[in-house]
Amino acid sequence: MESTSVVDGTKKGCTGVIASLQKMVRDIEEGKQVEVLVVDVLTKRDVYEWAAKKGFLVNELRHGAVYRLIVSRPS
Amino acid sequence: MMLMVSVQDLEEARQAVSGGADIVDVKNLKEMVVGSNFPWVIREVRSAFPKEIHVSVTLGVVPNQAGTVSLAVYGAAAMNATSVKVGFVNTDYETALRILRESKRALEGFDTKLIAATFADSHLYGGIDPTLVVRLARESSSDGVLIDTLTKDGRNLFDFMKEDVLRDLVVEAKEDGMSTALSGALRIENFDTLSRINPDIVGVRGAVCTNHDRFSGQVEASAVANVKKELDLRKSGKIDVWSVAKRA
Repeated sequence: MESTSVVDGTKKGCTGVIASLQKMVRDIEEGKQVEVLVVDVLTKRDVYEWAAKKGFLVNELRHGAVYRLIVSRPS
Repeated sequence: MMLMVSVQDLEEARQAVSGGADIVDVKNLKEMVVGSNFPWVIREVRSAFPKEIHVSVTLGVVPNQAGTVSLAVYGAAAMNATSVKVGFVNTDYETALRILRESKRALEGFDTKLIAATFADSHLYGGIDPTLVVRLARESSSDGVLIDTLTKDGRNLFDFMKEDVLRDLVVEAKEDGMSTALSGALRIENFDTLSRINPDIVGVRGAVCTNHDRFSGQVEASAVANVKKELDLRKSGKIDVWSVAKRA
């Protein structure tokens, strides 16, 4: 498996990362990873809840102020 | 969460932006509590700020006339508004849907986003169920949803809708790719609850006005900055909004 898509949630915008992730559900189901970059804990929580609902895993790394969340399907 | 501040004129808009508002929402409190402002006021505010500062236009509670509303929506787009909000009270679902669809059609060729709005307290005004807003937005291809209140007597959004209901609506709308906004006499003491819901946009006015008076007060940059700081404390996790909920 390799990380093929990035959702950059660090930029300001009205429509958040969940909408972007939702568009990538099929990719993740097919074995691809999606990397989500967020800077706030509220959006991070959204990602975890969304992934749990879909049955995906989240692996969390942190680079300074940025959380790097790797979303993937269970192996 | 982006901070949206309701303003009535350019001076208030300048105060809002100076305090850190991401969005200025131009409205006219003299025409209902969520009334529309004049085109020249909207144009003046829009031209005062770069595109990164979003300028939204509220049409407030609209009449059941798709032609009239879609023309107003077109006007907002022609003035380069970032978004235009169309709110419903005394209408039925099908009429609201038709108005939104025609409004969306009026926005063809523009970047302006269409926001469907309902009111948490609409049952007091014989209005439509506010929880229909996501369905309404989805079926009309609107770009976002807003839930606000019309009652401005000290009660606010959370006096009319529960946290879990609002959270479910926000999640549903986000999963549909829509922006989500909550407003309605919100104060800093509501920010823990708001943060757990985590809409894309939080709308305020009274909380950032002199004497917290949304009608006779004026938007103050220092109060906007304070509200922004309180939101940032929750976004950064320095205030843990989930442990607050457990203690309550």
